Amino acid sequence: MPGGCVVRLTSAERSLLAQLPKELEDVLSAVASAGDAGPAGDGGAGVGLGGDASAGGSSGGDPVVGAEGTETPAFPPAEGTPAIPPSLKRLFPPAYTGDDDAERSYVALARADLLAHHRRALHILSETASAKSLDAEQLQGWLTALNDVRLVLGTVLDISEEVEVTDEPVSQQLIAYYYLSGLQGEVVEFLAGWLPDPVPGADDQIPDDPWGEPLGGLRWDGTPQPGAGP
Amino acid sequence: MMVAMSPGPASAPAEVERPNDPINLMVYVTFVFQKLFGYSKEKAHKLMLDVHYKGRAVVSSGARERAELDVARLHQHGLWATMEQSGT
Repeated sequence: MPGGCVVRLTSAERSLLAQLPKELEDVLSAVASAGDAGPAGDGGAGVGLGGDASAGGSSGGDPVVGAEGTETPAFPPAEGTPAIPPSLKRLFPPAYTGDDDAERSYVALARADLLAHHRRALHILSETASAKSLDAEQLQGWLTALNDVRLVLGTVLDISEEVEVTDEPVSQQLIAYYYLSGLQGEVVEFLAGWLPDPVPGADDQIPDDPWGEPLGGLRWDGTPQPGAGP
Repeated sequence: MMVAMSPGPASAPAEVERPNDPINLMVYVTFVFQKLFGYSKEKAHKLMLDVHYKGRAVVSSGARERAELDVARLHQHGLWATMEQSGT
């Protein structure tokens, strides 16, 4: 069992880490309790999540939030399962595209667990935002929750690779988004150090380069990494 | 069945032409592949690059139940994974 992770953050950071996951958890709770009562609406009553995106860095001008009346859900909810507002669509991806029956079965089977998983992680982060140290399970909760909040913020802000740097005032949501991105990167780095060794033979189960070389990015050339391995 | 990952919901034409995932951190995607499937860092990194630059990568395969479980685990980590028939 690895040791703990010492957390040194400012009170402003901790305040943000307590507030944003709590807001999202409340939104998800509303979704969960909506059940089969029809569309849950956007549910974004909080300051940071589901708010007005017009101050963000989007250059497209598309309505993102509060557009539930005009946006078709990515997948049809099964009967008895809560509808997902557009701002939360990244948290609930479809498993089957082009097979509505299979998708309905999957949603009926997995939606409640998925919802509970997100809520549990968000709860861990908001409850331990002031902690001085975290164990592995709590830190994994932070990682999931940070990603969840970023996915929703990114959807609300319509973040894309083409976000332009302008002289326009930057919204608090965008600042929060980039702050959380940096923190999430740190958490990933920390947790990666706690990963067990790769499973022997796992790499071979997926054929290499089925579509040729990657189109971009940095690649290893096969020489051993400095410090890699025993 | 195969478990395919893509960056996210395809919407704008530009996104279809050159898919990318601006929202999920690249290091995070690599980490999740390592954690869930036991891949080496190199393998996980390569799969992440395929997702990022090609817009699609098969990240796991197996019988339907196993593949569906993998999809659910990827969904729990906020990744956009779908089921596909093998051999397509």
